[in-house]
Amino acid sequence: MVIDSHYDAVWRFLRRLGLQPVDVEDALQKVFVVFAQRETGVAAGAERSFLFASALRIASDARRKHAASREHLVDTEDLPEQADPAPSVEDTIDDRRLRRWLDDVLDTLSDEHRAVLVLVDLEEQTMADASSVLGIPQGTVASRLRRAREVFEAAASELRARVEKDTR
Amino acid sequence: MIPEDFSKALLRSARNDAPLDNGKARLLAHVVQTLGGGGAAGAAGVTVAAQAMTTAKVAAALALVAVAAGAGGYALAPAPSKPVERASDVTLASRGPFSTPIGAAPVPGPLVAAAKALETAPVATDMCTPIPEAAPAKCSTAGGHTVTLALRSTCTTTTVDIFWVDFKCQEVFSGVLAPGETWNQETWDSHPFRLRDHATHRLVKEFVAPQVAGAPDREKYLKGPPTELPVVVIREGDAPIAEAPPPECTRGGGRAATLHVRNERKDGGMLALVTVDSKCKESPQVWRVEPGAAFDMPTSEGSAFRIRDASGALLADVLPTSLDTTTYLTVP
Repeated sequence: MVIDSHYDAVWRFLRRLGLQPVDVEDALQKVFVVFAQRETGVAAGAERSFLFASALRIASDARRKHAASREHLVDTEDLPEQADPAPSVEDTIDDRRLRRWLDDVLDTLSDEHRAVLVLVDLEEQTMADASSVLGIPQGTVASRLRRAREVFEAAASELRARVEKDTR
Repeated sequence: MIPEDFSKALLRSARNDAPLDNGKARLLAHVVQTLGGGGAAGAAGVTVAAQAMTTAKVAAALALVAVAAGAGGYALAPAPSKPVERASDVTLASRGPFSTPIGAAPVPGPLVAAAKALETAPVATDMCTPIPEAAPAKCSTAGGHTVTLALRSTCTTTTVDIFWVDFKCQEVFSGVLAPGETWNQETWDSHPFRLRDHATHRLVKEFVAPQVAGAPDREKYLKGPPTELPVVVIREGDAPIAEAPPPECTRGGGRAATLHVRNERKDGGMLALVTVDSKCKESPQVWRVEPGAAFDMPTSEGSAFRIRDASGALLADVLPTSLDTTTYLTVP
C-alpha cells in the first residue's frame, strides 16, 4: 500500500524542506489525497516521484502561507529576546541535536538548492528521479546540486566553528 | 564532541528521523473521508455518489474505503437526521444570486466566459526573452487586498518558473508555467512575482497584481468568524433543472463560510452535495444529505456546489458569493 511504503520518506522530505512538525501532518494529508485522486494516472514505480513532486509544491505553499502569516501577525519588535541557540558544554551530540543543526544549515540554502540536495543526498534519489520530481533537466539538477553542496559545506563549516568556540 | 566529518554526520542524522506511529492511521482516515468515506469519529455523513463519479474514481475511493475498514474502523456513517430551523432560512426559489432558481436554465457567469475567451486566445510569437537582471523592484508588504491571479503564458517554447518575492525580497519558488498554460494563484495586490526562464533561470518578467475594485482587504479577509451563507432548502415538489455545465466555477478570494443544506423531502430520497472545482468540473467529493436531514458544510465564500437527487438529476446550483477577484494577466 502506498501509504505504508512511502509515508516515512514523504514525512522526512517535508521536514527537511523546512516544514515544522506541526505543519507536516497537514501537508502529508494533502500529498496523499492528491495521490489518491490521481492514482490511476501514476505509472507503476513512479509513485515516490509523484509524491515528492506534490510534497514539494505543497511545502512551498505551506512555507509561503506561514511566512505571510508570521509577517502579518508578529511584530519583530515585540518578540522576546531569543536565547543563544548554541549548545551548552554539557550537551551531547546526538541525532536529535544533529538534526536541529541540519535544519539550521538547510535553512541557509535557497528553496531550489534545498530541494535538490534533500532529494539526492538525503533521500538518495537518482538524478533522473530528481529531474522528474522537480520538472527540470538533469543538467540543471547537477548544477544546482553542485552549488547546493558548496553552500551546505560552507554553512556546516561555519556552524561547526561556532559550536566548537562555544563549547571550549 | 563534534564528529570529525561534521557534514556527513548532519546528513546521516536525517535518515534516522521518523514520524510518530499513529500518524499513518490519522492520514488514512483523512484520505478516506476526503475521498468518500464517513469518519467513525462522527463526521457528518459522507459517502460516495457513484452516479457522479467516473468508474476509476469510484474504484479508487471504494478500494481506499475497503482498506481503511479492514485496517480497523473507518466505517461509513449516515448523515445526521436532526433538522435545523433558522430565521434566515429561505426557499431555493428566493435565494436571489445565491443559486439558480428551480426550473430556470443556468446562464454561464462572467468568470466562465472570461476563462473560455482566455483559453481560446491565439498564442503569440514567443516573446519570452530575458530582461536585464536586477534586484526586485518591490518586496511583499503586509496588508493589501485579495486577488486571484490567472496567469496565461503566450510563450510558444519557453517554460517559466514563477517566484513570489517575499517580505525580505527573497524569491520563493511557486510553480512552473508551460507554454500556453494558465496558472491560478490566490494572493494579495501587495505581493510581487518574478518569472524566470525554466532552463536558464534568467529573469523574464516582474509584476504585481493590480488591485481589484471592491476586493476585501487583508484584515477583513483574515479575521472574524466564518460567513453564514443562506440555507438551501430542497422541498418535496422541487423539480429538476435542465442539465448543463456549472454556471460558475469555484474561485479564490472568499472568506471562510458555512453552507447549510436542508433536505425536506420525505420520500424523495437522499441528496448529493457535489463540489465544483476551479475548472468547473464536478469533483468526486460528494456529501450525502438524507431525507429530513440538515447538513452544515464548512467551506468558503468562493466555493461552488451542485445538488443532485438520488437518480443524479440536477436540482440546484449553489454559486460563489464572494466578489470575483480573478485578474487575467499574460506572459510575457
